[in-house]
Amino acid sequence: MKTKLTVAALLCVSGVARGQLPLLTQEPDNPDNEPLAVHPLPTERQLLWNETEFYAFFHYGMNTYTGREWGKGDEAESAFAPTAAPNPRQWLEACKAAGMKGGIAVVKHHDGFCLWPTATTRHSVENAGNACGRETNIPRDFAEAARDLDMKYGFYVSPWDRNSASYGEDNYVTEVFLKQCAELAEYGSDQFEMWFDGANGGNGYYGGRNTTVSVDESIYYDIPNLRDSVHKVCPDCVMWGQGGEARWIGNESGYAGETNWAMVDRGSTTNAQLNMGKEDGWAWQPGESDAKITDAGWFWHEGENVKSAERLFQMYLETVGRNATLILNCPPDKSGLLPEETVNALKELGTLLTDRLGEQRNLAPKASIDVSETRTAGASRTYKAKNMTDGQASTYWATNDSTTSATITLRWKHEQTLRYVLMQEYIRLGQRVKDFSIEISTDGSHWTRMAPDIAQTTIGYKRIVPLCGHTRDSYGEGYRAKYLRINIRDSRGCPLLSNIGVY
Amino acid sequence: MICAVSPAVPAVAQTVTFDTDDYKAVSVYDSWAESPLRTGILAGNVQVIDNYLAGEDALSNATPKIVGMQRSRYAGNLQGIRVDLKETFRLTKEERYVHVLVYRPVEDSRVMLITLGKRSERAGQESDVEQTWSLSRGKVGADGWYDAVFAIKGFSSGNETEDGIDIYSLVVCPDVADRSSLAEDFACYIDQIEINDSPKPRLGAVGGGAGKPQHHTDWASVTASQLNGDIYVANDMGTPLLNYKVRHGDSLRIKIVPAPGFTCSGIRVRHGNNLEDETYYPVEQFTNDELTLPPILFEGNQVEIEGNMVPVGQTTGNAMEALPAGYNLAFSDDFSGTEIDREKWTTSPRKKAVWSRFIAEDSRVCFLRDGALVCRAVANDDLSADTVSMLSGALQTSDSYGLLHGYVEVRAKTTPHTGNFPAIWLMPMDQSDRWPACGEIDIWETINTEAATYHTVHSRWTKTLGNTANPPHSRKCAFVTEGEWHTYGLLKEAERLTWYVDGAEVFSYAKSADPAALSQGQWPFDKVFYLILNQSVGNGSWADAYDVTFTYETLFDWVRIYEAPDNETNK
Repeated sequence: MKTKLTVAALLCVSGVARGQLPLLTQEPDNPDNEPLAVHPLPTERQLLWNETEFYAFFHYGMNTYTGREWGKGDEAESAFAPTAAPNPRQWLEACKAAGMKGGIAVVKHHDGFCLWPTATTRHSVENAGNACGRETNIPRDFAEAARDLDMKYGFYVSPWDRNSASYGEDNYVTEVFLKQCAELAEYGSDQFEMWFDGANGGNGYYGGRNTTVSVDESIYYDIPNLRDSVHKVCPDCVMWGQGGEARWIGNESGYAGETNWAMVDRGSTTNAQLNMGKEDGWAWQPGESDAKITDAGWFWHEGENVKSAERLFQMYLETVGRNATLILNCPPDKSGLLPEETVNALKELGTLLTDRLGEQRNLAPKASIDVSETRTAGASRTYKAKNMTDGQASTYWATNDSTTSATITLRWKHEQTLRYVLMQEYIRLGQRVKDFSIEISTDGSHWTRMAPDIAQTTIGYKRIVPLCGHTRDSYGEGYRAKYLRINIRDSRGCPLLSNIGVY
Repeated sequence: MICAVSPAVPAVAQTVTFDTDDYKAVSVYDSWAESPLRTGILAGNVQVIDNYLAGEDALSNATPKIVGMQRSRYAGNLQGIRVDLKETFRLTKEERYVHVLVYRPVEDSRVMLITLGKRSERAGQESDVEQTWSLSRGKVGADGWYDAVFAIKGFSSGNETEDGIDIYSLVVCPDVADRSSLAEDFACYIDQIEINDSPKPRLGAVGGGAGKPQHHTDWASVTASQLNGDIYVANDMGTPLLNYKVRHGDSLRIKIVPAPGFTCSGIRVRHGNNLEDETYYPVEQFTNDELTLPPILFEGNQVEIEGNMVPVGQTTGNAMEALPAGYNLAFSDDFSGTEIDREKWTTSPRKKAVWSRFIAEDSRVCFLRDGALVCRAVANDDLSADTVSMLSGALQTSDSYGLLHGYVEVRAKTTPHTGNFPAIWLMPMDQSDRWPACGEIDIWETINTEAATYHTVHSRWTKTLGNTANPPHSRKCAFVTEGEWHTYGLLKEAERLTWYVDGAEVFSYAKSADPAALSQGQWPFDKVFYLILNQSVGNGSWADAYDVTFTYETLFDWVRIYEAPDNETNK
């Protein structure tokens, strides 16, 4: 137990009733007048993970060649026979054009076929059906391509393994699953996320047992110790899903709740909590929304269609714009490449994002900002309104401690056309805002409340409110205004905003 | 002495009283890595002190020593008292319980136990890695001693000779809350830790986890999980079931839409106070993928719905590719001649059951055409010869072939119409037990104009005793377009039946492991069964009543029966 005290801390016994625990007056220094954290808080790796915002999912593997979504595990290794070397670089380049900052590659799905030469099973690329297959090593090539493209990367490895003869028994976890995770951690200490699918148990080939296996997934994969060992090799790797550091948003359709807290009761999360979090949840577990760019399945299927860029933009607003990250699945086809329609859709999406929400479209830095209250500055930190438009994530505006409501007014010299309002809380000190509203005005005296059909409650890491009040076909004509006012009506502790954008 | 309420004393594995030297150390703990209590900015305050809180009634704690902790607004929400144990204990896969007496001045927050430990075989791992996080099972009130009970388990052999998770320390967080706006620190106390197998609290804590909902509202908030498919309010597919409000006393009609490649086998609905009750609705109770959930589900304040979405896979047309080696074709007919092969097929006998009441030995209802067997049901236009209103065709292999273990596949196409009731199915050669006890296996049925197939078993267990859900005895697959060709298959094994549609597995029914179920006729299927193909019409009990003006027709392109290597006998 640490007993070191800083010089400025006072140590004295405050007067209390006889016999009770004597309470010590213990107050840390606060020379910068920083607000107290509102708990729970994100860890350092969860903060970095949130900043990734929008990234790709690549379902490629045995199922690409069998046409299945859930392979049974009895597929012959020889069925994996790509016609050319799979090209993760092409996948990532196309996704970078969409504005994505990273990608996660499936390297083992429920069918158990491993896309790297693993020591744990012969059901892997080592025994693939042709030379291209046998030379495939997705984790190696994917990591290399991501680093070259300055994108983050990680891997999906399915805990449920329908091929493994030992799935369901103790030694599956120790001899197969944990070893596979350890092998994958070796492909780079800079991995940003490991994806552990929630689908578990059920029927499968299981090395010829051809039976149904169910497991107690709350303990079977020994997650606390898995996390501990992965983090020693990959300190910034957020373990998703079963891994407990980020949660599934509760659907595969690409939307988070308009109200979305990053906190949940981890271990007893209800379906509603998945989509909306829980204001008094005890654990920080932000939501990630997994969705598909195609309409047929997670893996590539003949005849599938690609969603329109406008639909994808809507998904972006309903995920990244609602305090969740978006992992958008783009399945490579049998040739190991993303099909042309997918590449085109990604390019179009990138254009929409730049045109509508790009930094060059941001009108907030051009406005003058008035706030109803500014927190008293400290020795080396200020909390003024300009901190919200200085492009720095580490500076923020705040009120004094006991204030939980405030008004932020932006004013432009000339009328502007406004469509989207973007806000970011300084979540390093917790997620706070519970209730807000947005108004615009042309003259500064008559105000119109915007988007009444949208629940304006939480902000979190990022919230984007389309002023028209809906996310579908949100671009529209826009609204002419000289003033924009954000009313923070309630907050858990004093509100802190690090960024405001108006587009 | 603690006055125990329960008469039986549960087996105790370990105790820490703090009255003697039965612990290694107590210290300050905060799960938050950057806490000033961990970085050294604040010392924190945890001490073993004399017990000043002894009372006189049955809920008291009169032991000499207790442990106090100063709750600080500078700490995180998981600030706690860390107790290092004298002896480690092993986490087990079965739940065990840690009991801690807690005394605190607040009751608006929860209480949590965190265990710290390591894997026994990892020499380099620290022994204070957080392993479990458990909220107390019952409510812990204020200003009195409460026995907080925590369930713990881990993936670990409890056996000390094998590898597992060893727990070195316990952390009790007596106030799981954000206290950043606290005006003054306050003190919390713990005492008398016991680790045992009893979930019952030792003293007057409010009961194990259940209880009245905290806020009474007059509506229930309904949320559905959307994995591999969507569940909507029927007639309102734009509104996701996400905290959807249903008034107490109302029902809710829902619609399930499985994702492409998936089918729904049923839904699980959790409801009641604190979601303690669970009701399962198999998909056969749905109509066109819709179901009305009754008001009784919405009497609590929360409801959760989860669809059991199961993959179907792609159409291959021939499940034979998936069969293991050693299966040999033993019986087949591709109906390519001009006359039905009577060495293989006999006309099923007419009986009183709905499916057989109109069967006729008549080439108008059973004939070959263009390489397929045509079975029809038509109006009987000569009532003098036969008094039934319709005539229908049905053939079976009862005199020629029976299968014990193997795979049956038939390619068929029917004509959707009200009253349509065709089938491909199996009955045992030995029916001395009488139906339903002798068993029946329905490989394929469809009714009326439904774009759906049914795959079902009947037995004494399911029919006479009504055990239709344990395990589910039937599946409706709502993705097949009738009026087109499909293959329907059944894999018949000693302890399992598996159904296939277009080469993809859709349903499975297995022999129970429970001797009680077996003794009541759950598994009559491990004997020789023969095949029946028929075109029947309904009477309103399941399929609609027949349309006497319509020519019902089902085509069978071929039949193939493969025997497994362990198929011992035919007939």
